[in-house]
Amino acid sequence: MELWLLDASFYGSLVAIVIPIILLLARYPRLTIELKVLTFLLCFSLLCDVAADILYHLKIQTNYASSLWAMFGTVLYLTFFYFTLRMPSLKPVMITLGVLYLTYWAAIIHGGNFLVINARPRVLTELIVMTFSIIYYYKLIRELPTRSISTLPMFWIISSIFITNSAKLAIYAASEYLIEIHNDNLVLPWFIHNILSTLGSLTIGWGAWLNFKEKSVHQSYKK
Amino acid sequence: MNDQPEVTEIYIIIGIAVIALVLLAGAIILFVLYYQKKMVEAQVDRQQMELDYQRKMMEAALESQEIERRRVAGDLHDSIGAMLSTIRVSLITHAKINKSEAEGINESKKMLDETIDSVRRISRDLMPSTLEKFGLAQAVREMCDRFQSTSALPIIFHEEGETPPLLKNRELMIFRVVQELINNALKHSHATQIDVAFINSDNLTVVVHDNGIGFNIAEHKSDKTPGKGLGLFNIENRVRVVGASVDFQSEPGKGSRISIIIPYEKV
Repeated sequence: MELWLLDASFYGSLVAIVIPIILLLARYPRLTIELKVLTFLLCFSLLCDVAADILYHLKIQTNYASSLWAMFGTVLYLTFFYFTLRMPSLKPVMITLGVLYLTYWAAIIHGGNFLVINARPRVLTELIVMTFSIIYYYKLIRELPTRSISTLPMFWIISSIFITNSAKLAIYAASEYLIEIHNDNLVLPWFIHNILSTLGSLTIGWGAWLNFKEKSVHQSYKK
Repeated sequence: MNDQPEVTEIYIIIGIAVIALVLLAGAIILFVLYYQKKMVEAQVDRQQMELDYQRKMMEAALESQEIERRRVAGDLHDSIGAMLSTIRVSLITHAKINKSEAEGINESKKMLDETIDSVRRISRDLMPSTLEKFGLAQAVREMCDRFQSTSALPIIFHEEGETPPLLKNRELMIFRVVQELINNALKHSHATQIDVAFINSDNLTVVVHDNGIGFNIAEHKSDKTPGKGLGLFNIENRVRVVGASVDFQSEPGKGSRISIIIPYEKV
């Protein structure tokens, strides 16, 4: 596979993530706490991707940035789900998961493996995200909002996170094996990864747009 | 040489796994959407059934009220009215025999005549015979004339187009609502004129308009104090029973205009 395609897909995913960030930042003071955490999560993701690109052009190991994202991104996801689900019974579970996850990373760093691809913690991240997404849907069904759920911004945001992270699970699960056994450069899996990220960001953008519209209508009523 | 096909195989497995996971996640999302839609539909159906049940209960209650009114009107007219008429005839006979007491008897006869009129009026109000014989528009026209003669206030009836005959129980229900609206206007509005209009177009629209002091709609809608007539809440309920809708327009100091829109197909 041509390398330029991988580059194009990477820059495409960078542009795509900017869309929800702009829409969320435009209404930042009025955002709910979970959307504020999401904004922070997206900004952090963008920052790590830009840092990885700079490191790549400086011919420095890019895993500095991607490992940093994998480490703190999961904590941000847990925080995001904590505020989205608002289920007090899940609080100790989330705190325990966060502490265990960071401990795992501490062990990785201690073992001197910070700069390898570290697919296992990423697989864990995807499983955590998938589990909490399913819990969100379960809660949605139980609460049964009377308005169509396809008009709920959070429904689109969680659906995007759920689908993309489910798909990425397969890529991460195989990546360590591909690198260690076959010394593969992962161009094709990473291309798919970038396409998934782009689609995911655009869907989050749609959710952010619904939220933006909702807030604008609310504001015009107040006027 | 052996590595290449194996990598390709892994790529194929990754591709299949990615597609499978996306489909699985998509299926879960679609299930949530479908389930929510079905549950909301079921909830709406349940609410509709409850509304229908309430409507039927109210219809039955109003019908039994009308039956009772009809019975009381019949008793007043046929029993008390007949007895009063008999007394009147006897008084006239008595006056002819005892000419010396004629003046006193004539006074009593005058009072008796007024009582007979009152009994007839009450009986007619309870069960307007014109409604059954000549239909809603004529009954309302007659009611306006009667109200005008007793209140000395111009109550003007207009009819645009010809009001088609409606189901009898529906006609009675609308008649009661108009009766209540005119009563309310007479009692509370301090109006100098009341207009009642029947406008026949795609629907039948009945409008009761007065030029009185008006009222605060939100305040009166929640007012169910006994002695304040049916109240707007009860008017709305009666109107709903006949499948019509009501629109209240009023502002303090600017009179009031109440429109009842009755779709023909509902009646």
